[in-house]
Order: sequence, then structure tokens, then C-alpha cells
Amino acid sequence: MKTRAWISLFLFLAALAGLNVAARRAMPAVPTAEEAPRNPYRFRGWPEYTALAPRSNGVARVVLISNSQAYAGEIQERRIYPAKLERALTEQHAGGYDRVEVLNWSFDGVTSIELMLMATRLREESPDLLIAAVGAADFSSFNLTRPLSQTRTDLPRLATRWKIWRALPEAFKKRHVKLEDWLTNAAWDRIALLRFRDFAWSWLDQTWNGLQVGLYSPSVNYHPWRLRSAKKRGSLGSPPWVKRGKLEVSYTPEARELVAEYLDALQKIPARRLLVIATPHQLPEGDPLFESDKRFLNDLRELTAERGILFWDDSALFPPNAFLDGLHFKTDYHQYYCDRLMERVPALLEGGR
Amino acid sequence: MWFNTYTYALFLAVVLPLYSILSLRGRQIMLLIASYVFYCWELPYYGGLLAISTLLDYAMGILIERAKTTGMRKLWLGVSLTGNLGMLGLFKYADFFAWNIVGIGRLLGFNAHWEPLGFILPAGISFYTFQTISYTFQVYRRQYPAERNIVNFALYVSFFPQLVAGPIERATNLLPQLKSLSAIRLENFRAGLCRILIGLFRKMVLADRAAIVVNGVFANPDACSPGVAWLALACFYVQLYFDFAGYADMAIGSARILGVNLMENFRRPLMAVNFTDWWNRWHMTLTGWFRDYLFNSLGGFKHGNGRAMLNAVIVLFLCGLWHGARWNFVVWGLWSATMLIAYYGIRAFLRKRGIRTRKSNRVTIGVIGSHALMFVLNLIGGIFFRSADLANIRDMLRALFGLNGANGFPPYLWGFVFIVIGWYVIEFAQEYLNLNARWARMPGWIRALGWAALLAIVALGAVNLQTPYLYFQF
Repeated sequence: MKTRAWISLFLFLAALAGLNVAARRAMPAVPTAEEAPRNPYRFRGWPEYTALAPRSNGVARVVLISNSQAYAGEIQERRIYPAKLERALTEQHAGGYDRVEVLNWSFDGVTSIELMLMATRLREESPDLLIAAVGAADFSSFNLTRPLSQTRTDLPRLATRWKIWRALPEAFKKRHVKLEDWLTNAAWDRIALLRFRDFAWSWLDQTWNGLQVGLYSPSVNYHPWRLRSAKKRGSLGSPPWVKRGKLEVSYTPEARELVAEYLDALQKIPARRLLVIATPHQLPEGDPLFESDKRFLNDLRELTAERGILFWDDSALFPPNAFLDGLHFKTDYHQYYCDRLMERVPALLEGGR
Repeated sequence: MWFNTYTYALFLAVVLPLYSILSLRGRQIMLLIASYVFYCWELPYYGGLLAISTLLDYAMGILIERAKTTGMRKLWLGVSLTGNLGMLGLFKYADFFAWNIVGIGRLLGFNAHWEPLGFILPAGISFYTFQTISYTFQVYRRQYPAERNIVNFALYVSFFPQLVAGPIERATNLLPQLKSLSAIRLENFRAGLCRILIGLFRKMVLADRAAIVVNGVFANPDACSPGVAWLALACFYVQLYFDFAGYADMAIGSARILGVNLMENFRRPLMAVNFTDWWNRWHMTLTGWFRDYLFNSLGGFKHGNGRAMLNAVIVLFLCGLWHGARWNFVVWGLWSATMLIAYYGIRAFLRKRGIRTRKSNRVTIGVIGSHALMFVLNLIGGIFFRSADLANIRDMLRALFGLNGANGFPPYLWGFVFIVIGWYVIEFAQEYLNLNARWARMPGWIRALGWAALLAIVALGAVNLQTPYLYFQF
């Protein structure tokens, strides 16, 4: 009887181990930021994507942390402005370097939580230039109470890595990092079957569009892998109850704390130069978010000045409302923005070699 | 602390080894501390209320037992009831009743005003106050002697597996087990883990998935066709059952690991053939509580059919209110009462004509028809139970009967139709084809692979959305 029980237990564990190995093998490898102009999987694989190899001689490293305007998921990856900037800076041998690499740590719907995690992760590196391109939407006041599990990417897996956790500000840890996050991350990092769940549902969703929101991950938790390989077989329709439209992006006075916290974290990165940019985002007067945007810009201007951080206000670079279709959808805007950056960025790389 | 979290797994990983190495007294004290840690995990002040309720009923139990006259016994029982129901009333119902009184005052032309107390409802208060009341009643009725040991009694009130959402235990079942906690045994450990796994599957794969449809449709019924709206009601039934039964599974499984057998809370509700039968299968420990301490106290069936029906209305009205301080719960309670009275009426009518409605184990068209009728009536009851307010009920009714002009049925929603059908098929097989016994007779290796498959389904099929347990709010 006892032998049978042990055999059963062995079979139980063996079956699970087999499934776990199969799950690990089924998932694709994630390139690093050095290997790809942006994370091809969009919301997944971020801890792997931010892994960096030691820098070679004669190579300048520029890290760009930004939002959907630099990710530009609808545009071919070689034609987005970070990739163009990398090529232009290398061709120009900016700062006397043989090559300049621009690491694009940007994605759609970035939150101040993820910005903080990337900034803290970068404390282990020493880039020649760090560009933090931000907009009001990245610092929505909702982020003050948003749990780690409600961010779109899997960057929160970084939050409980010991080195990063120790470097995170106490206020951030108190707001966001709970015991459950530690345990969840430990499980996700070790058990491939759990990571495979997101992958499998994303694959299903991209094969039969509509499954993810309807059956697996509605609303704020919607964060699929972006899988070019999945063959589209059709749409199963979106849930009739989903109300399209307004995102929770308003920047209230309380959110100033988030901006200050982020700037402080940026300053702690051992980068040779630090640049903060307000991304092109001009709203017409009368837009419900106009006041919120204005408040954000004022705060950003004040807080960078207080800290002596170099700040460029590019918010009015494009015509009002162009930000929505501009960098998100149009290649021309990327060329235009790259040209504007090339007028100013090379000077920041001078004297580094 | 929720059962379906890694934190709970860690909690068990600390509690179980400690339990194994301690003596009986040590186990009791450790479990008491662990139960308070479990309860106070989110909001520590909750623990104070739990302690007050414990001390009150501990003292009242002893005083009732010592009282020499019936009058004194009644007095101490009254103090216990006033204390427990007063606490429940203050934290759960004070704002609700005050707002209604203010509303009536305004209708009558008074310039009434009420500043909300704004208490956060302490988790599980409705459950543990009912549990302590049941103890006091059992002592009052001399069904159980007053517990003299404060640790034993405090553990009975706060035993973590069933503290927050039941089962509402009786002293006669739980206290003797807590007084003789045995060592962890392999078969209990295995059975407990399997039960927890079933609970995780029910909660994380079925209930939370059904919640996607339910939350979506009830938030925006105007956009939903009749097909989607009816499916949402079916999904709400799925959510409500698997959420609560899943919780009960995890509670019973956790207690089983410790060698404690908790009372069952559900018994295949889809197999109910009438409303009396349904109440004997759904949230059985609450039904039993209301039957023993309210319905029977009001006279039960002793004073004729008319009085019994009135008693049923009172009980189900209060049962509705127990679920929450909102009118929709009251309407749901009254709907249930109406259905129960209709059933009594039909039964009496048939009996007068010599037709007997006897429950049999044979499957007939009539039985399956009764299942279907009960299912539809419960779906309708679900509208009242789930709706946020009366306007929401109106919008849902419009959607159900196609009065909002919406149409369409996304194909993937068929998945939910199959979940409902699968639920029925499994309960049917358990009820009439002895499915559980057949599974228990399967070779060990098949069962091992079955449990591994279930764990993999939970790992891969769990919804990426943590929905709070519905019954935590009650």
C-alpha cells in the first residue's frame, strides 16, 4: 500500500516536471536591448530584455527610457526614432566613438512604477547618456495606489530581486511591494508553467482575436506577448460590454511626488550625462486633459531645475493632437523627431571617450 | 489573507511544521495565534472585534450555565445576542438603516441629515457572530456545556480555515475536535491537499472566469443582447457557486490537513428539485443556523401552514439582509420566500387531490424538468442578488427581454455555455451515477495523473484577474 502511494506521488511529480520542461522549451528566447531596437514581445520578457553585456571599447551606450512614442508598435522596428538615432549617431561618430548604441527601454502604457524599476535597474550600469523621455500619462495619479500586479509589463519581476529591492526608495516599497509580490515573483521566475500561461493565452488570442480580453485577462491586466509568429485565423469578436475610450491618465497635484521620486532615482544612476525630455504632446485648450498636462510640465520644469537636471521641453514640437497619430503611427514624425534630437544629442556625448 | 495566494501557501508552510512538533496545548495556542495573524493580515484592527466577540460569548456561556433561573438564562442569552447583533448592526447596517430613515424623513418633509459612519466592514463578521451566537444557543439549550478554557473557545471562534467565510460551525462539531487535535496523518494531508486543489480550480479557473462576463454585463447591460444577458445570469450562478464552494473546499481541505473535519456547505445545488431541496443543498450551514435558531424559535411548522409561511418570509427576509445592507438583497430574500411559499402552496394543492410529491432516486423527465425549472428560477433570483441597485435590475431586465435593441453573441462565449453544461453533467453523475465512489476506486496511478492534470489546468487556466471572494463581503 505504501509503495503504491509512493509510486503515485512519483508519477504526480514526474508529470508536473515533464509539463514544466515542455513549457520552458515552448517559449521563445527574448533578445536583449542590444540585440533588438525594441522588445519584440512588447509587454513580456522585460527582465531578460534589460540584461546588458559589458560594453566594448569605442562604443558609447545611450539608454532611452520612454513610453509608447518611442516603442511605436505599429511602425516597423528599424524606422522608429531610437533606431534612427542610433544609426545617425554612429554614422556621425558622435563624441568620437566608433559606434553608438541606443538601448530602447520603452513600451506602451508605461507607468511611473515601471519607470522607477527601470531606473533602479540602471543603477547597476553606467551609460554614457541616459535619456528619460516622459509624458503626463506616465505619471497618472492612479499609480499612487496601483498594485504591482496591475502594470502591463512583467517588469515587476525585477522589484523583488535583492539588489533592486534594496535600492528602491522606502516610499515606493511601502506603496507597491507586498509579501505576495515576493512570492509571486519567486514562483514565476522558477516555474516555467506559470510564465507559459501568459504565452499560451497570448498565442491563442493572436490566433483567434478576442480570447484574451474575454476569457483570460480583462481590462487593466491585459498584457499579452506580442507574437508575430501566431497565424491569425480570425476574430471571435470583442465583448459587447467593453466601453471603449477614456484611459485613466489624469495627473493630479499628488502625482508630483511620483515625478520627484523618479527624478531622484535617475540622479542615482552613474550615467555620465542625464537628460530629461518632455515628449511631444500638445493638447488643444479645452481638452479635458489640458490642465493636467500643463500642471505636469510645470512640475517637471520645476523639479528638474531644483535638481540641476538637463531638461528639454519638446512637448510643443508637434502640432496639437499630432501625438496620437504622430509618433504612434507615422514614420515621417520619427524622422523629424530624430533630426531634432540629432541637432542636440551629439553634443552631450562629447568628451566621453 | 486569501486562500488562493502564495502568502497563504507560505502561511501553511510555517504553521504545519510547527503544528507537527508541538504538544496538544502548544498546537492550540499556536493555531490561535496563527488564526489571528491570518485574520489581521490586511487590517489589524479587525482582531479587536473578534476578541470582543470571543470574550463576550465565553463569559455569557459560563453565566448561562451557572444561572439558576430561566429568567437569568434568558437575560444572559439576551446580552449575548444584543452584543453580537449590536456589533453586526453597527458595522454592517447602521448607515443603511440611517439613510433609509433619513430618506423617509425627507419624504415627509423633515430636514433630515445623516453623516455616514463609513466603517470598513470587518471581514467575516457575519460568519463569526453567527458562529458565536450558535454556541450561546447550544449552551442555553443545554446541547453543549459551556467551554471553560478560554484558549479552546477563542480557537473555536477564530479557527483560521473557516473564520472568514464559514462553514458556520456548531460547537458540538468543532469544539471537541479542537480539544483533541491529533498529529498530521498522511491520508489527511493527502485528502486535504486534493480538496484545496479542487477549491483552487473552482475559484481561479471557473468562478473568476465567469466573473469576467458577470462584471462586464452588469456594468453595461444596455450593450448586451438577450443571449449575452441570460448567459451572464448563468455565469453569475457559476461564479457565486464556485467562488463560495471553492472557498469552502479550501477551508475544509486546510482543516482536514490538521485532522479537523468541518461541516459541508454545499451538496450539488443543481440537483435540487424544489426550493426546500435547494436550501438543503446551498450554504447548508447558514440554512441550518436560520432553521434552528430563527425558524424553529418562531414556531416553525407547529402552528399551521399559514404561520409557517409567515415564518419562512421572516427568515428569508433576514437571510437576504444577512448577505448585505442593500435593498437588492432584501428583494432577493423576498423572491426566495415567494418561491418557497409557491412551492408549499402547490404541494398542499396536490396533496389535497391525493397526489404525493415524493423524492425518489430514479431519474425521470419530471426530475430533469425540475432541475431545469430550479435553474431558471435561480437565474432570475440572481438578478436581484447581483445588481448594484434597482436601476441596474431594470436595465438587466430590459436586456434579458431584448428591450434595449442590442444584439450579437461573440462565439467564444459558447465556452461558458459548455462550463454550465459540464457543471450539470458532473453533478448529475455524482448524484445518480456514483461518480465520486467510482473515482475513489480508480487505480492510484490514474488518480495521481488526474491530480497532476488538475494542477496543470489550474496553473495554465487560472484567470489573470484576482476577484475578491464574494462571500467575504457578507
